[in-house]
Amino acid sequence: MSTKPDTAADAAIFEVRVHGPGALTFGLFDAKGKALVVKRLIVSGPEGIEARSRLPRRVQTQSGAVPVVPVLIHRANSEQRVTFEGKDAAKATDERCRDIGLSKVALGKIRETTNLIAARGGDPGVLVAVSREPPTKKR
Amino acid sequence: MATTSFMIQLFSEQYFAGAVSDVPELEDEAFLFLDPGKATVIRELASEEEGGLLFVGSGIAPLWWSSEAFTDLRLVPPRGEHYTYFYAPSFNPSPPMKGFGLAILRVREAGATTSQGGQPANALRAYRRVGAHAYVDQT
Repeated sequence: MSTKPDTAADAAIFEVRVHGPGALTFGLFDAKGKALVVKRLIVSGPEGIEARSRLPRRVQTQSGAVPVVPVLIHRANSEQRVTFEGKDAAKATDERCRDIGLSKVALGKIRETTNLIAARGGDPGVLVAVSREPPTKKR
Repeated sequence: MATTSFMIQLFSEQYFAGAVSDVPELEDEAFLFLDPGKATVIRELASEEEGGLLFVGSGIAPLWWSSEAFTDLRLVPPRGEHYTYFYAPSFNPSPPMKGFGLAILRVREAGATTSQGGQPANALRAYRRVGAHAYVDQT
């Protein structure tokens, strides 16, 4: 039995696998350390339950497609096992950070965001801004 | 004969930051291994959703056409030859079926993009929260 995608056309997608019940939050951060996507999954059921989610390796923004780093922000159940692309989540994040070449400043911003969300128990605390981007100041 | 009841619950919450111009398809799954020697009944299957997508151009407009994420449950035999599908919402027990070793609860929702080959893209604001559950009995 397999739960893998039916097509191989998903090279641009990475897979998050969750083994066991619990709540987890993960995010996709750009090379500047900005969270572009935050996702929370809560899986409930018997111990043997598993879950799968798929997210893009590159996120399309107004200024073009940018590579992103998946980061496990919070996990409520320490028994729950989380993998990115079949690898331990932390290891996969380290590898991707190296691939993209994240600066210390960017890593600091990621840490700041993850600490903030983790302090709220993984709840991203959504506020959808409907204003346009502020105009740039003329010098 | 003794009946074993299982619950499969999946909650998925996604938040996309302001700079994003492409919101990919949502496709999340929770799955549970079953005893293929027992008869399986899908007792209940349902989902609900909150949130949506906003288009931010010269104005701001809601951008969605469905009020609920598409939710189904697949029963898969041990060799994965053919799936049997059930679609939410359903609050009546299915007929008992034998020979299935895996139940996959899936939620899906279409993505959206404003990117068009080299042209400056408009922003999307997206926030969606989907909860789905299935109750499965095996006798």
